[in-house]
Order: sequence, then structure tokens, then C-alpha cells
Amino acid sequence: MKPLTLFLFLLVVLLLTMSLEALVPSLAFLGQVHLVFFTIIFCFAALALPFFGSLFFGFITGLIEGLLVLEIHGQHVEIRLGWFIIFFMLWAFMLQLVSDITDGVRWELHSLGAGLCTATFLLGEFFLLSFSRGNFFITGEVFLLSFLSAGISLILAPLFYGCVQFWLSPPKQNSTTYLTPL
Amino acid sequence: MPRSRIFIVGALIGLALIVSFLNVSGLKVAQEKLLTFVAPVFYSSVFLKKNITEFTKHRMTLHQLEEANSKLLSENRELKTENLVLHAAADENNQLRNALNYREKSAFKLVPATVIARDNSTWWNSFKIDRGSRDGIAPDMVIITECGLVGKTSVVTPGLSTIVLITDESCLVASKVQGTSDQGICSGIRIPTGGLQLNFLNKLANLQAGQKVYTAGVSGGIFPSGIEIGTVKSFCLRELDGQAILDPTVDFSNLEHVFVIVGAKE
Repeated sequence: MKPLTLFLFLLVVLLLTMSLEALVPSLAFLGQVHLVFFTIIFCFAALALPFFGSLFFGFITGLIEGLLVLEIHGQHVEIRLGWFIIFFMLWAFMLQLVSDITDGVRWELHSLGAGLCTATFLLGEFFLLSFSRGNFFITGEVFLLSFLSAGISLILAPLFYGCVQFWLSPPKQNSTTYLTPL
Repeated sequence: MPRSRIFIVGALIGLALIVSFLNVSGLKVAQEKLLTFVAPVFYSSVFLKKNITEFTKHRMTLHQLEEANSKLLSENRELKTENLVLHAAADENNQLRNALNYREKSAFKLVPATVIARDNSTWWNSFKIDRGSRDGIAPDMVIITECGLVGKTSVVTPGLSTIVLITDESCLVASKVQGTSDQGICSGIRIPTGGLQLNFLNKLANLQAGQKVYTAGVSGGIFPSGIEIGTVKSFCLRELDGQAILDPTVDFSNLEHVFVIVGAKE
């Protein structure tokens, strides 16, 4: 598959995921944990796309996510849009480096990346929000919420990987590395 | 790292910094455009959810239908009786109002709306509704249900609006406690527990669990007076003030239909 086609396909999936994410209520039985799916798509794109495509995908992910969640109170924006963009570009850069080392997109790497990206994203958002509102505090619940969301993303990531893998190319026997870098 | 890569990274970081320093109006326009773009996804998913719910709801066995029918018949009889009693009460009420020259309080002009998307972030609490500027909605309008206060509108597009819920820490409401002269500022809690906090209470306020809290309706504020917010769950003293933890009256997890106050009824 051509990188541009994959880029556009993943972009459409990302937009759909971000919109559908807003339709799923937080899980009351898990302490109001919010499900984060878009990091799964982002991590896959960051691993599978070439360097420039990966960074640009990070840029777009940050831009859309920032615009979707940001709250503007009068003339005050709590978290600058640039933070979202730089955060996802940084993750895209790191995942590209790892992808170069492993010479392909491994499902374990994708899963771990999605989990860690979700956790760092939520914690980063909380810290910035705390600094912006002026009263910084951190409790176990903050970590619990972040890591539970991350855990759910980590578990769901192989499902997405499997679906895309099945669509892109039939699985080869005795191999866990199906996708080669484009 | 090749030079071209360094150049690309630099260009993208530069672009990110430019976006970062966009002014608020530019950011609002971008947010409105994006919400308008993704609005069809929200609408179609609500339509799909409604159809699935209707389909599963209407699949009943004959036995279940018989049961439902007999239940409805008995409810009907009950309501008819109740209606008769209420008619008599209404007549009496009207007579008393006329006698006292009672001036009816101006009611609100409400626009009904359906929740089409839930909060899409862990640390912010917001909903999206299917009404926008086309229906006369503007930013900072109050959202209520028959149970109580829900929140206020923030970003408004032609067909969709974002509501900041009272469970969000940034939504501040001047509040008063039922049966006392105590007033405070009610807001959500940053860590989403579903509860509310009532801060800046008098240290001498001795609030009891179960007391109701209403909007105070301060001048210049957006929330009108007398809308129920929640009930006191606990009260504690802090160094400078008293703080109460409230249970919101509205069940936000099952909220589907809300009303937007667009003004006072003429």
C-alpha cells in the first residue's frame, strides 16, 4: 500500500475514532475511567508511516484532539494547542526510532506504545491543567485513572493491529512481524 | 540525522508554535469549523443508537405484552382518579391566586435539546447537544433538566453546542443553601468523581447532610436564582472557610434530554 493511501485511510479512521470516543460514556464501575481509543490509531500510524508522514500525522492528531477537548473561558485557554501538537510529534519521533530498530511494526510495540502514549498524555494534560488553574495537587486517583485508561488502550491495540494487518496483507506463518516499514 | 529530516522537524515545530499562539477568536473559529465538520458523525451515531434501542425495546413476547397492557390499564385508572383530584386543587389554587393578587413569576423560554455526545476528555466534563445558533442558542446560556441545573453552553456552532457541565471544575456557580443564609461557590472536582464542591462557606455554617443547594442568582451572573443544584453530602471546616461536598441532583450518566434557557417568557 502506498504511504499516502495509508496516511489518508488512518486519518479517516482517526477522525471517526475521535468522534465516536465522545459517544462512549465514562465507565462508572471503574471509577469514571474514560476510554481513549485514538492513541491506538496514532501509534499505529506513527510506526507504519514513513518519517515525514509519521510526524505530520502526529501534528494533525495533536491539532484535532486539542481542538476537540479544549475549553475556552472568555479570553483564557487552559492548555495551549501547541502542547498537544508537540506531544504527539514527539511520540511519533520516538516510535519512528523504535520502528527503525525493530525493522517493522510489531504488535507488541504498537500495544505498548498505545498504552504508554495514553498514560503520558492523560498525566501531561492533568499537570498542565493543574499549573494553569493554579492549585497543583496529585493523588493516587489521578494515576489510577490514567493507567486504567492506558491499560484499556494497551489491551485494545492488538485488535486494531489485527484488523489492519488482515486488511493490508494476509498473515505469514511463524511470524509476529507482519507489516514492513513503508 | 539527514539535513532534510532536521528541516522537516524544525518546520513542524515552528508550525506548532504558530498554532500555539493563535488568539482566542481564531481558536474559537477553528473549533467551530471542526465541530461542524464532525457533527454528521454525532448525528448518525445518535440515529443508529436510537434505532437499535427501539428495535431491542419493541421485541416483547405475548406474555410480556399482556403484562404491560394490564399494568398500563391500572396506571390509567390511577391517573384518571388523580386527575380529578388535581382539577379540584387547580381550581382552588386559581381562586387563591386571584384573591391574593398573585403575580406569577416570569417563566423561562426553553429550547429542548438532545445530548448527542458525552465528555471526550478525562479532566474536562462536557456534553454536546443537537441545538446551535440556528435555534437561538448562544455561548453562556444555562442548561437545565426537570431535575435541576446541568451547566452552560460554551462553543456554539450552527447545529451543535458544547455544554460545560457543573461537574467541571471551571464551571463556577454562586449557590445558596436551603433554609439558611449561607452562600458559596459551587464547582466540580478536577478528578472526576461525579460530585460537586461548595466552597467559601461561612465557617460557622453548620450544614447537614440532605440539605438542598440552589443557584443564588447574583447580579451579572448567568445562572438565574432558584435552580436546584444538589444536596449536601458532607461538610468540613478548612483553614479559612467551610467546604461542603454535594451530590448533584441531575444524573449525568443517563442524561439524554435537556433544556436551554434562551430568555424569559414574555
